[in-house]
Amino acid sequence: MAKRALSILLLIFSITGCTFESKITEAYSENPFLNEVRLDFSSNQKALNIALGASTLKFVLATDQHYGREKRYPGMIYRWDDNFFDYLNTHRYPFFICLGDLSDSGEYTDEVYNYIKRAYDSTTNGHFIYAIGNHERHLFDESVWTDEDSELIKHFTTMGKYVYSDILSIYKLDSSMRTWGSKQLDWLEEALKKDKSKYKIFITHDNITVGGTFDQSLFVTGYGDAVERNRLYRIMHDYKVGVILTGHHHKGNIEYHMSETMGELNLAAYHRMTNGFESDGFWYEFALDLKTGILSCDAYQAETGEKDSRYHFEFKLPEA
Amino acid sequence: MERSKKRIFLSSRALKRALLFFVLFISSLSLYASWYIKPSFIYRESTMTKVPYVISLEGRWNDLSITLSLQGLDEELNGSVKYDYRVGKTLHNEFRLHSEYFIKDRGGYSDLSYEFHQRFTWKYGGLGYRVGIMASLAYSSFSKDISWGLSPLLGLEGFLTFGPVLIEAYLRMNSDNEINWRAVPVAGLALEGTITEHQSISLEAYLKTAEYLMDPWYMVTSWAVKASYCYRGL
Repeated sequence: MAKRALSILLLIFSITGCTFESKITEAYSENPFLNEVRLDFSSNQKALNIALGASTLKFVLATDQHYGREKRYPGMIYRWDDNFFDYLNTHRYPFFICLGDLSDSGEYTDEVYNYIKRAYDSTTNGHFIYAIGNHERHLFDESVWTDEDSELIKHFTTMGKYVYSDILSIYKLDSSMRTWGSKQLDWLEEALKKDKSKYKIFITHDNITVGGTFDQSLFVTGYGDAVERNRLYRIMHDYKVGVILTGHHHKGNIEYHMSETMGELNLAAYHRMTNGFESDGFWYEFALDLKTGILSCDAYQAETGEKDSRYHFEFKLPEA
Repeated sequence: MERSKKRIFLSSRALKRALLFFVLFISSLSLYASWYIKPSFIYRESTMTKVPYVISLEGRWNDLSITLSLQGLDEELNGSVKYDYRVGKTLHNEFRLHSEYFIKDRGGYSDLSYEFHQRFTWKYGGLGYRVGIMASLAYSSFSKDISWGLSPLLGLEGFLTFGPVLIEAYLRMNSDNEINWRAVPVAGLALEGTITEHQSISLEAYLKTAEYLMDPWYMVTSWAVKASYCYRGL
């Protein structure tokens, strides 16, 4: 009887578009965090200087671009791509991180392609690190986001590890299905045990710690599984992972310091939407002081391209 | 030595008294109150917990019920207290305090919820709905920050009766047996058979999904089958 009841439930859920945890990891036959991508050995002089011993490693981050959102909210969406790419071309960072929801509908549209192409051309060696968001899963066919054969989207895996000169390890976690799942976190722990980098950070789409400010994450958005959240905190503590960078709920610019050397920085959307629950458009410049382990972050207003002095964040990364 | 013997003797006497008090308490329940005790065994596959076996004990005295459960020996502890204040034949006001502790990852959460619940009953079955709100907090020993949440609660249920057998299907957002510190749906099917006036057994299967807002799919994060025996007073 139990099996029959369960079968009926599974049938109902499969009709309504229900998926299971195995979908998160099915693309990988082995631990994807063990196949690290090297971000150094760039032909760019600035990046090379950093690798040769400069005191600061800088990189740029933008999240929740939501190209195509204009169709759902006509007249309410604003973005300033030229400001951003002018800035990128001037600074030539060694890598650029995007925390997901680049496409609103999950479609690989021309707008999305052009953004990736410009990001690729504006960073050294095309290191555009992309963490998949829940909107990229909307079409049920995310193969375009995981096509590793394409040079342009070589970082479009759903999870992975990026290493910069054994100084910094960046672990990209897949929270696009609103859960990491135990297999992904087991893989993560396995890779962290072998990690030799001085500093480590996590990036993922969904915001984890919620309710710190009176924003929509208090009410609805944000990680729904307390077991996974607590396991991630324990992993960060045990393996000296200093910070997790998250996006997803658009309001952003919220910092959480779980301890002196462990935190979460939730970042605002790249685009602006004119309602009270969303933010102005932002992008972010990060600077890691290689001597002190202080990771600082400055927010830039997308509309003006100017640094916004209201938002400066600092995290002390623990040294391995 | 004599002193310790005396202590043992005293503790033994105290134990007998406590046992007598408990028997009298249970007897008084059967005389003056509506009550039941329901031990359960749950087989639960979850994306996060390793040991799939859960034991649970639920007790109810009039409008107050208490549920305690343990998954594995080093996984999670779960407890909830529910007060179901009934108004007339169909209306219920349910207040619930639920708490969960994750032994291995040293943290947990607590939530306090209120649900307005209305259930219409006909000869061979019934339908019901739930509307409510849940305030919750999640904590970890690795963090000085606490996560806060406010969640709307919605639920639908329907049941059919065939003599001593009751079949119920439900979709709700706060389940005593599941880990959901934010509002996440739990859908289930339950089958209950009455054996005697005082005894019944039930079998329940349910699925829990991840947080799902605005996405066109549901991610199942756990499923379970629960077998229970219930001894009812009045």
